Amino acid sequence: MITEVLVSIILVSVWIIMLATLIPLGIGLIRTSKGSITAVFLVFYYTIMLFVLLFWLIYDIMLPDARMPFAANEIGEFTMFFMQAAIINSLFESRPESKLMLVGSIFFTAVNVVLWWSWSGEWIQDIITGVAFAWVMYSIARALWGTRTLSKRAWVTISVMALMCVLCQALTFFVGETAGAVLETVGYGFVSAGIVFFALQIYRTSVKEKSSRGFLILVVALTIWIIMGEYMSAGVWYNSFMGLRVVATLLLFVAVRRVVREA
Amino acid sequence: MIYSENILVCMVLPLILAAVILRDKTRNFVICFIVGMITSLLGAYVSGFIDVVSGYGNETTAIYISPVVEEIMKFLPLLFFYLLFEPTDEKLVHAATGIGAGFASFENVCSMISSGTENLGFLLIRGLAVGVMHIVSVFALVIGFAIARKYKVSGFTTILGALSSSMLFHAAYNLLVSEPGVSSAIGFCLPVVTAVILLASYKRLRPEKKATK
Repeated sequence: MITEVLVSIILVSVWIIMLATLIPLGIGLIRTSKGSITAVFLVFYYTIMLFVLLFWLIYDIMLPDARMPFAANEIGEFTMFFMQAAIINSLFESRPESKLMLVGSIFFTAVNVVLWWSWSGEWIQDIITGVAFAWVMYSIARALWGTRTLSKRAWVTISVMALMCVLCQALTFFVGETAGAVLETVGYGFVSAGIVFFALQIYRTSVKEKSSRGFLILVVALTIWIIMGEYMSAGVWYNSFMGLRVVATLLLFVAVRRVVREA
Repeated sequence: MIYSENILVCMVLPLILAAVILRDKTRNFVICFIVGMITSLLGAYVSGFIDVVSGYGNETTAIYISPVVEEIMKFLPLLFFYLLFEPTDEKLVHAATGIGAGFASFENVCSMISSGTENLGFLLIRGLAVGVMHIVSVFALVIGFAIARKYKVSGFTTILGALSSSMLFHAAYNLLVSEPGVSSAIGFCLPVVTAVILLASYKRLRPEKKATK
């Protein structure tokens, strides 16, 4: 337990240092691009993230064993979802619409919210976070759909993975302890497979197809996927996903810089 | 227990008289200062109500809930001013500074009366830290409004982002100063450091002025 808290404190510290470097670089990006809205949202997103992490770090150091009551960081977390959605939406002058994606995003978010609620019991926070989560999910899905960044086969693959993740987690409530542990591990396996899937898609889109817009949308999708994994895990898995989020944060800067430079 | 309403009345009455006499920018600033003090009192009422309803206790409410409530209270008059009068960025900055300064002043006075005024050194540090903290956090809101107006997209997200930043900054400060010692010292330095960073960022982003004869 103490090791896990220590690892999380180290990770958050590294993350904070990285953000403290990326924010001035982001401000530079706003300046060189003469006020690109995508860069503005990126800096805003990073600033909120920095404050959320600072709050977490201070709390972890001052009160390491206590569960945090409702505080400003929860508002910060759901605002970060809105910011990520704004980063994606700023790429389009007329946003693509898709009813299928809207229904899919709402359904997937609703299942997630029920799971969060079952784990934490904090239903008000979970529903509010769910609204922001649904919005960013829909923004990602319609952007991926509208730009045809993913093939039909890729859509089916990621949809099956997403369903399997939540199914495995949901089943843990109805089976015994041993079977629950197995299902949980299988669920983490699907989350990890999803991360590999997005990493491969990012490589294909950014290196082979050289699509800066697709690259940025996929990086946000990867971030949200990792967050989904983070929310359903604890201990070592949580720290692993957090470590990946640090990488995704850096990748987001690279993606936005590319979009801004190409604009 | 202190009678905050009585303190408010004593402080506000001379300012109202001043506002009647003064004109233009100075009058606006004084009015915003008064609004800041009133919102501080209303914020205390709301926090007190949440404390009773949630059963968190005084300390937990002060550390975790008050930043959320106080920032919303400062945000509301600013939002009202922004939507109703469509002020320029400069006017918005002046209004925000007035609200922040009024809020901090009233909070400082109430805090001093309730916890004692013997140690001048501590009062100076606290007074400065709280003053800068409230002005910096309200300044974040101004940035949000300015961006929302300039880009005319995702105004909700931008304003929510600004509000959330100011809440988080305030919450980090409250958490740090809640314990004496090193954390408290860092907490008192946080607003000043943030103000310096904010000013540096503002200078970096400000469009360069063309040389004029």
